[in-house]
Amino acid sequence: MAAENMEEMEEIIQDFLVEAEELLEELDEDLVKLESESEDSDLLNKIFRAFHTIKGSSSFLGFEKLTHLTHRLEDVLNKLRKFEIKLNSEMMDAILSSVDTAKSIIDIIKEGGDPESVDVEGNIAALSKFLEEKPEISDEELIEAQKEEIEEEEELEQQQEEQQDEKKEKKSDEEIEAEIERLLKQRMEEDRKKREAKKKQQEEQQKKQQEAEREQQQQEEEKKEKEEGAPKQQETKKPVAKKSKPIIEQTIRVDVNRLDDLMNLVGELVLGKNRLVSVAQKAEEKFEGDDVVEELSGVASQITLVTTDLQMGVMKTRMVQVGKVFNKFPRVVRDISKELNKNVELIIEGAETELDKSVVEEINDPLVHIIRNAIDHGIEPSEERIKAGKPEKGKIVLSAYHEGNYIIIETTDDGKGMDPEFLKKKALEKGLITETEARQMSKEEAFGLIFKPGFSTAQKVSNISGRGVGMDVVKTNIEKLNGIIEIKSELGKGSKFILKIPLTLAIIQALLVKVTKDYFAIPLVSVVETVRISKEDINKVENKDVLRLRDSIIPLVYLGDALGIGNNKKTINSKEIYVVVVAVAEKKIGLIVDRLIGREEVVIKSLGNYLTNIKSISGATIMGDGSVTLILDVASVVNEASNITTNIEDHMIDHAISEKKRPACLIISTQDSVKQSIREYAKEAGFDVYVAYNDKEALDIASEHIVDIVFVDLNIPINGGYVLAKLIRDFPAYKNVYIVSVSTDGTYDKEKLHESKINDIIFAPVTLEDVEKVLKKLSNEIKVA
Amino acid sequence: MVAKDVDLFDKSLSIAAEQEEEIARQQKKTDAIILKDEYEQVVGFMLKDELFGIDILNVEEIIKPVDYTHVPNTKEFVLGVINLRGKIIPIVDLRVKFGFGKKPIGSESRMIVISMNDFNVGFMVDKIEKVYYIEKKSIEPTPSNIPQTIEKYVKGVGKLQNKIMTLLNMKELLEEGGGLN
Repeated sequence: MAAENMEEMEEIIQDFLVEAEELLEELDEDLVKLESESEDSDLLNKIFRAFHTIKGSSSFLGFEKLTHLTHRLEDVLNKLRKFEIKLNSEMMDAILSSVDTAKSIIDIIKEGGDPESVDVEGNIAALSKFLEEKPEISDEELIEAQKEEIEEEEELEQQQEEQQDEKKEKKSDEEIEAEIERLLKQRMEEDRKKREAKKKQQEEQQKKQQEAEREQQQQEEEKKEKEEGAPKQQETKKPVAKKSKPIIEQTIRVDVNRLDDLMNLVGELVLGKNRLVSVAQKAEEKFEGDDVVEELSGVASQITLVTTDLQMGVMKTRMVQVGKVFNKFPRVVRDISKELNKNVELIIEGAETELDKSVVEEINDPLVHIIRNAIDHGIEPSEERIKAGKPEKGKIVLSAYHEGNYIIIETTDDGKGMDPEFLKKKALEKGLITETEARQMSKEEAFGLIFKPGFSTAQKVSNISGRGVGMDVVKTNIEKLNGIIEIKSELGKGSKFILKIPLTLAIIQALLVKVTKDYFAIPLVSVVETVRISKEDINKVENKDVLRLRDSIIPLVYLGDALGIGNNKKTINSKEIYVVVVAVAEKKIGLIVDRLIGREEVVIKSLGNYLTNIKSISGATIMGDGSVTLILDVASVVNEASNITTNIEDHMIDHAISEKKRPACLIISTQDSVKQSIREYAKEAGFDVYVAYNDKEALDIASEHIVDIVFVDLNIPINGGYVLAKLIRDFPAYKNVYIVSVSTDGTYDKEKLHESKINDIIFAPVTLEDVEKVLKKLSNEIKVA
Repeated sequence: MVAKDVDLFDKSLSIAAEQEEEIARQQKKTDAIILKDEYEQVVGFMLKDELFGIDILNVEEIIKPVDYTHVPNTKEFVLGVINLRGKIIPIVDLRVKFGFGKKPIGSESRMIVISMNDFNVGFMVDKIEKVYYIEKKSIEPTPSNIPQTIEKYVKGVGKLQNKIMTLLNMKELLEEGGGLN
C-alpha cells in the first residue's frame, strides 16, 4: 500500500510540475504584456489566478518556499487588480525575478533536489516593499489562507458528491432513503454557506434555497408517484451542475517516447511501402497487361496514399506551435533592451505555425542569439534613431510561416544594418580571412562572416555580446537541423535573418545521386538546385574549380573527393556533368556527381554505436530494394569540400581514355583456372589485364580504368554476374563495352543474360580457342560500330 | 543496389547434432555429467588458418555474406553496412582488423552478427567451424607469443583435444569503434 501511495504521490507531483511549468511560461508572456497594459483587469485576474493555483497546489504538496513566494506574489497581484497600488518598472522587475525563482524551484523539484534549499527571502523582501501594511505574512495568515482553501475545496467536493448522488438516484429511483440523506446533506451545506456569507443577501438566499428545496421535495414526491419525473428533476439539477461541471477535456497528454515509437513504426511502414512500390513496378515491366499485376499496382498506390496520410497524421501529433518558443521572447527582449538601455518593441507573427517537437527544442537557442544580436548590434540608441529620422522605438519582427515541408522563421529589425566592408575589415584584423579572400567575397559571404567562431565587431565585451560565440551557436544548431540561414541586410535600414528548417527530422525528402559505384542521399532541404553543365562551363579561379551560375560564382568539388572515395576514379562524362548546388547555413557549394537518380522519401536510421561521428555521413536509409543508402551530412561535406583542392578534370572519362595506351580487359572470377587461361591469351593479344574477385572490386576497377572487354563469372560473390554486368553497363564509359559471361557450372539463364545485356557466353574450362573466338568477334563488332 | 534476402536458415550451420554427440562422447569418457557453469559455449570460426572463438551468448545469428554499402571515412577494416531486417549493421572484416591481409569473400565466408551492450556488429570470417564446449578450467591467459596487433582483443586461449582456440574479448573489439577519430 505504501508503495502504491508513493506512486500516486509521484503522479500528483508530476502533474503539478507540468501544470506549474505551463503556468509560469504563460506568466512570462502575460507579465511583459502587463507592463504596457497595466490597467487590463482581465489580464491582472489571469495572472492572479495563476499565482493562486500554484500556491494552492504547492501548499498541498508541502513545498513551503514555493508556497511562501507565490503567496506573496498573489498578494501583490491582488493589490494590483484592485488598483490599490500601481505597477511600475521596479515592481515588475521584482515580480519577474520572483517568477524566475519559482521556475528554479520547479526545476529543482523536477531534478529530485531539495526545493527548500532555494533562498526566497530576497524576492519576498523585494515584493513586500509594495505591500506597505504587511511586511511579512504571519503563519496564522498562511494557515488561515489554507483553511479557506480547504473549505472551498470541501464545498466543491460536497457539490460533486451531490451530483453523484443525483446520478445514482436517476438509476434507482426507489432509494428514497438515499434521497433523504442527500437532502439532509444539501441542507447542511447550505447552512454552512449561510454562515460563511455574513451579508444582507442571507435572507434572500435562504428564501431562495428554501424554495428550491421545496421544489425539489415536490418533485421527488412526484417522482415517487411516477417514474417519468426524471426529466423535470434534471432541470433542477442544472444550476448545481453549472457550478462544478468540469470542462470536458479534448486533449490528452501523451508520453513523447510513445510518439517516437509510433514515428519509428511509421518509418518502417514507409520503407515497406517503398519496397512494395518498387516490386509492383518491376512486376509491371515484366508482365505488362496482366490482371494480377494491375491489381498489385492498384494496391500499391492505395497503400502509398494511406501511408502518406498516416505519416502526416503521426507527424501532426508531434507538432507543436512555434509560439511555445516565441512566447518566451517578449521577456527576453525586455530584459536585454533594458540592460542595453535601448527602446525596442517585439512583434510576433505566425506563432500558431506548427512544427515537430524535436525541432522546436532546437530553435530556441539560435533565436535567442539572433535577437540578442539584433538588439545589441542592430537597433541603434534612441538619439541616433531620431537623428536618422526613424521612430524612436526600435522594432524587431519575429515571424514564422510554412513553405512546403519547411518552416521559415524570420527575424527582421529596423536597425542600422550590416556593412560588408566593415565585417571584412574586422575579420581581417582577427586573422579569420586573408586579403585575397576578402577581395573576392560577395556581400552575402561577408554577412556570413558573423558566423565564424571568434568573430566579433563589438568594441568591448559586454555581458551580452562581444565574445564571438553567439552566432557560431546559431550556425551549429541550424546545421544540426539540416537548416539553411540566409541574411539580408541594407545599411541604415535593418537586417533580416531567414532560417529555413525542415518540419521533421525522422522522415525526409532526399535527392539520390550516384558517385563512382556508390549511391548517396542528399537531404532535399539543403539542395538549392541541380544543373547540368559541360566541361567548358567550369572555370578556374586561383587553381580552384568554380561555376558561374547566373550572377554568382559557386565553388565546385567532386563529391567523391569530398567523401574521400574519389581517388583515381574516372567516371564523369565531360559533356554531361551534373552539379548539385547545396547550401548549408550561409554557405553555398556545387557538388559534382556522376548521375542524378531522383527524389525519394527516406527514413533516417542511425549507423549504430559502432560507427559514431562518421565524417560527412549523418545516417543511412533502406531503399525499396532493401539496399542501404547513406545519407550525407551536408554541413560536414561542405566543410570538407572547402578544405580540399581538387581537379575535376582528373575524374573525367576523357582523362582515362587519354591515359590508356593499349586495349584492356577485365576478368572477374573466383576460379583461378578461369582467370589464368583468359589472362594468358589476352596478354598475348596485347591487352592490359585487370583481375577482380568479386563485384565490389570489379566496380572499383571499372571506375578507375576503361576496358574494352569484360569477362564475368556468373557465380561471383556477392550478387552474381548478371547483376554485376548490369551495374558495369551503368557506367557512362561502359555503355557499349563487350561483356562476356563465363559459366563455370554449365548453366545459364537466357532471359537474365538478355536483361543484363551480356553479349556472349563461354563455358569453363575456358580454352584458348574460346577466348580467341570472342576477341575476334569483338574486333568485328568494333569494325561494325 | 540489389541486396539478396538474408538467408536465415542456413542449413550448413545446424551443428546441434554434432554438439550433442561431442557432449555424449565426453560424458562417456569422463563418466560425469556436464555441468553448465563448468563449460563455456563458444562459436568457433577460422581466420586464415587459426581457430578463434566467440562466446555464444554474444552471437545473435550467423548469415551468409550479403551485399554491403561501403561507408566513407571509416577505418580500413569496416567493410560497410548491411540491412538486416530493417536494422543497419556495420560489418567488420576481422582478417583486416587482425592484420591477416584481405581475402576475397568466398563460398565459405560468413557474417557473425554480434549483439552485446547496445552494439550490433557483424564480423566477416573465413569459415564457421562449429559450437565448442570449452571447459572453463582449461582456459589459459593469453600466451606471450600472440602478435601484438591482436593481443588486446584476446581474452584467453582454450584448449581442445587436439587444437587451440583463441577466445576473443568482445568488449575491447566493439568499444574501439569503426569511425576515424
